[in-house]
Amino acid sequence: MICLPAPAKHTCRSRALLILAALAAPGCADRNPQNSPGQSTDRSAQPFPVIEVLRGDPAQSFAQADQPRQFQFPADHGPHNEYRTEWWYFTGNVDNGKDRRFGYQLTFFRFRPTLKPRGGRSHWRAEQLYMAHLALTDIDSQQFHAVERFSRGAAGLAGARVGTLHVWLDDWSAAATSARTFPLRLRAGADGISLDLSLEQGKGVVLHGDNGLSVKHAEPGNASYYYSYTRMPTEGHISISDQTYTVRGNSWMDREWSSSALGKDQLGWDWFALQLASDYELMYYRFRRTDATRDRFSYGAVVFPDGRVDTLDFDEVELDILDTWQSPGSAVVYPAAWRLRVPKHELDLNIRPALAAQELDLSFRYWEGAVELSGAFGAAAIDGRGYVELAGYGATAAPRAR
Amino acid sequence: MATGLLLRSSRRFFLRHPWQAGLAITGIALAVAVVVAVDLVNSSARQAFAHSTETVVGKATHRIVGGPNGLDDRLYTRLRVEHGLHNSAPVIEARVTLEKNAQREVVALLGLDPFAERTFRAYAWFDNLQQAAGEGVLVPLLTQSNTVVLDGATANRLGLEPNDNAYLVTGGRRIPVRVTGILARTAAGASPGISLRPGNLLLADLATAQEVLGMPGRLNRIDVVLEDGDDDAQTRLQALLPPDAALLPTATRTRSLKQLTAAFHTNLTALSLLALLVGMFLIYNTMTFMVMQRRPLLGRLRALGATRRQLAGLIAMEALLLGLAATAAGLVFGVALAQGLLQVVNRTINEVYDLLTDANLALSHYSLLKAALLGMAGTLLATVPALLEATRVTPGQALLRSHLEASSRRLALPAALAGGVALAVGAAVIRLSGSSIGLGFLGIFIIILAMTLLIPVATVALMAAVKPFIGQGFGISGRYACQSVTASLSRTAAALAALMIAIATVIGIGLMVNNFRLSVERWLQQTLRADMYVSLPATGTTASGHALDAALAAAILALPEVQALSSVRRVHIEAAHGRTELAAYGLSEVSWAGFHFKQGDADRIWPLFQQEDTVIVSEPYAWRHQVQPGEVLELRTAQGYRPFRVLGVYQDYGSDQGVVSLSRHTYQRHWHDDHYSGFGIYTYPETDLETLRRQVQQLAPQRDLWLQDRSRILQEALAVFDNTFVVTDILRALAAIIAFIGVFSALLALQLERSREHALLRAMGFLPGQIRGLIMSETGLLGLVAGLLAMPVGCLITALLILVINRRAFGWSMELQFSTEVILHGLSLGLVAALLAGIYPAWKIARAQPAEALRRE
Repeated sequence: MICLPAPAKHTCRSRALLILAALAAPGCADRNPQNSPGQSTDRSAQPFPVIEVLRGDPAQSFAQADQPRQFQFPADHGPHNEYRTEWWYFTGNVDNGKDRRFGYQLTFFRFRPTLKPRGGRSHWRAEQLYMAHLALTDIDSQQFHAVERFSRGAAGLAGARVGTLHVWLDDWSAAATSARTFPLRLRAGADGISLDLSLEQGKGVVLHGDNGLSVKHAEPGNASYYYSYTRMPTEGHISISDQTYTVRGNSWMDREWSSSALGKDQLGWDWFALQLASDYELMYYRFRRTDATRDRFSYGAVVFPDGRVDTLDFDEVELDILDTWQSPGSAVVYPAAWRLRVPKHELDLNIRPALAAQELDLSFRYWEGAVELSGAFGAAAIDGRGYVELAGYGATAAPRAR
Repeated sequence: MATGLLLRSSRRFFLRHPWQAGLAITGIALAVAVVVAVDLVNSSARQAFAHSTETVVGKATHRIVGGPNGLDDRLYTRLRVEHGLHNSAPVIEARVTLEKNAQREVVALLGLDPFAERTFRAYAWFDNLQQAAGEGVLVPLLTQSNTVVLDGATANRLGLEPNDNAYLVTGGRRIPVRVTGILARTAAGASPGISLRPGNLLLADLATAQEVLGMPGRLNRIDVVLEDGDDDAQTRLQALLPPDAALLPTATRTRSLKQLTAAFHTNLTALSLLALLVGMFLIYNTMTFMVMQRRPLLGRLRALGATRRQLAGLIAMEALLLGLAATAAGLVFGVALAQGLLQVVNRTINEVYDLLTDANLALSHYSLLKAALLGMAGTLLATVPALLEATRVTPGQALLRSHLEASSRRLALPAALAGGVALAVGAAVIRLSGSSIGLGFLGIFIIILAMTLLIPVATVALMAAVKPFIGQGFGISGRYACQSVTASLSRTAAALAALMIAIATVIGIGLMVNNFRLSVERWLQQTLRADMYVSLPATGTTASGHALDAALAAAILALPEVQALSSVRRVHIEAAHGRTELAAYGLSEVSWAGFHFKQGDADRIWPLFQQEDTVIVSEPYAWRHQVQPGEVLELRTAQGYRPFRVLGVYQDYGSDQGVVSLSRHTYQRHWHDDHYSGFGIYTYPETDLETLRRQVQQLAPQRDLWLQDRSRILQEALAVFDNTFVVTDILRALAAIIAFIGVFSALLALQLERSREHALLRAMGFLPGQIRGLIMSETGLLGLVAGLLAMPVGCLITALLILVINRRAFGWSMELQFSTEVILHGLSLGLVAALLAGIYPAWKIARAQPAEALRRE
């Protein structure tokens, strides 16, 4: 997955910009309930126009994801500080083997606001800013928790170690436990929830797009480097208000870095990471365009049980919205059930959120949550679990179920 | 009898005597105004104090503090990253000067981590933030050095716009900074009259603060929010701290701030109460007078069938209307006065209490209501005697003045007796009230009131004493004047009391300030022993970047002109029981003589002071903390709390909170700090100080040293002292003005009322000049009497202020001297007021036709 959408139609904004906006206007960005759903709202008049910060610093001066690269591991698990944005994205579905199922999300974002050399000699002087999101879906008790953190990549408060996978912000971290990188250990907690999970590598790395170069738009350089681990056997502990559960399940890790933004004609973004019970995985994302046509940079990939990958073009996936859900807090309307078909692989899936209320109503807002699947794979019935991210809703016309 | 008739008689009276109502209203209004003003200033200042705490402390429940040079910032990272102490925020706080186009403002520099701040401080960093187009604030703040955000008020004063450059002056260095954003003032209407945005606030990223203050790797403190009542969390956190750090509840800081300003508030309040007291006399005087004047009329009304109740109602209603008009005018004037006073008070707060607050006028309804009530209740209360008098007499008696005067004179002795009793009560209150400042003032008030009760007797005695001399000098007019002062005691006593209190106040406060200044000057002369002093321009911070280093000390000592060097390191140590100012002295023996011990023997103190874990404490410290020589103080050192034995108590006017002094040796052993705050240079005889000054400055080319010789320091210290008492002087002057108006109106009324008597005298053959002489000597005598009586009372007030109030408020002892200049000044004030009051009646009577005047009556 890459960019979160622009809240305004006419400005080029990327997820990274939104991160900055969120940093800059703590607690006040995007927090007001939107106008009635279905009505287009121009939100360009935000109180803190951080976007302007970057106008003087065109993306071109940052390193660009403009050609395929030779990935080196574990080095590429580490930070790529010369690019504007980067993230370490973990999602997963786990359960305690009995009565409790959980979805979790732990994400670390790195953002470099400017290329200007940092001034001064204090070791607090920041060049990189970090943001992290922790979300926990307690499916069986219908609870959703989401927390955000911000810090600077300086003074040891947040950062990512070069040459390995170790990223942290405060006492939240995702770190390699050995020279072989895996298993990874994820630790995070706040406001009565916490997780401590160990993630095995599982299947091999999946390089998206053209050997990891994932093109997002026709504009040259509007691309990212993007790889995933799609099925990582996971075990560990999850605690919710003093109750600790020993859990097992599967996680999904996305790594992506770039210096680009969403195209002007791209509004938002739906992303699906689905783990089928038959050891297949399906990844699919699509951009929502201002002109409501299908975006040809939408992309998908099917990962076979043996690790082989088949990439899917934008016209090889059919996605229909079956239902919508309106957030009682933000009044934003999100899609809440889909039918996803990949005729090429005879795949026909119904996707439903494990819990409707999985909106992260934080400094900037999006919906990301655990989903459940059922349907047909060839002649056989199939089910599975997964994660879906929906971004850029609320600023434009509400989605409509077909 | 018809009420309408009574009302008409009342209206006629005021229409015929408009000046009387006017002066009464002016007097009451002034008294109310002073009370309102002082009350408003007090509450505004208190609010500003509270807000400055809020600005700085925010929602923190605790703070982690370090030693003289703060905390290692890695502690913060460790607590946050390894121990998950999320509700914590690093803070660097320092006083710096912001300079733009040669204009300077002292501001509080807060170095913060914007990300950690989100849950802490009340002001939102980015609400209403004014910024330059195209640049943004947060990113430059975080990524670029020397970028700051300034509060709107200060930006206005300095004429700074977003993206402007300015200079930050600190520790003798001048550092260019860029203002990336300006905190806008709170939107109007949020809270009428109150600006919740603190003034003089400069925000910077922590990195910038470390850089400009020259304290890389250090923090002043870490603010923490701990769950209410979670003692476990406190214990756990405490266990994680190194020995030089301490976890303190935020409340201690707020509390010490309250202590710091308590004396300040009490003093202001006492002054306003004094003004009210004078005002009450004034009201009493006016009301009594207006009743007395109409005694014949009231008697006639009684004879015509008006009931006592009706007359009482009439007078009460007059008082009510006068009180209403005066109170309303007083409230309006008081608010304006408060505005002016606040300017002065702000300066005092900033200079003396080292707090950066921009106290804005807060129109508290409570203050206004209180003053209105005081004005109304005061007026009505002061009317009661007149009311009783007017209604008690029978119609027949009321027509006779002689009855009234006779009863007044009869009352003189009992009043004096009551005065004696009140005097004893006042003395007892002072004696028994321990260390309470408020009760101390109460005692003083009682004593002042007691003195007023002695006035009739003293007046009669004085007049009897001066009559022969006056008679010789002024002939029949003089003797007549003496006689009539005594004869009209019923009306003159209150006027005399008001005038006496006012003059006594002027004398008392004047003498107190005079003595205080004298003591400070003498102390400075004794303490300042060195020929030249070196320090950094004062910024009120103890950060190491603001200190001089050992290399400079060695370099200065190596100069051929320098005979000896003494040094001081001044730091604040925060501990569970509050903030302690430490002064670590590296003294050459020459400078020992600069300490004057109030308790303890210098010969025994100095040898022990150099070697063991011992301290000496300043007089205010000993008073505030009730410490005696031989006792042990617990001070928080780099290894935690350690005991120090108190050797002596020394005289010091430098800090009203008190100082604990110790030898540099002891200090370094316990605090591991090798910085200096200042040096005193002792030169060989015949050294040219100007040359030396240049030489020393050259030793520190990067910094602007503050180099002063003895006499300059003396001058500057006294200038600060004088500034501190500006408010006191203003209030003293106001009390004098109120008294002046009171006396003026009373005497004017007295004389005008007697125009019939004067006309009679004219008819009997007195010349206009003689009448003028009579009037002038009568008012002059009254002024003289008030002035003479005020002299001992003023001296008594001084003695009480110095021996009771100053000791209780600050623990300072000072000499008691009575400057004749100040006393004579007070005396002349009374005389001038009285003589001025005589001018108009004298002028009028000289022009009036006797027959006309007689017929009108």
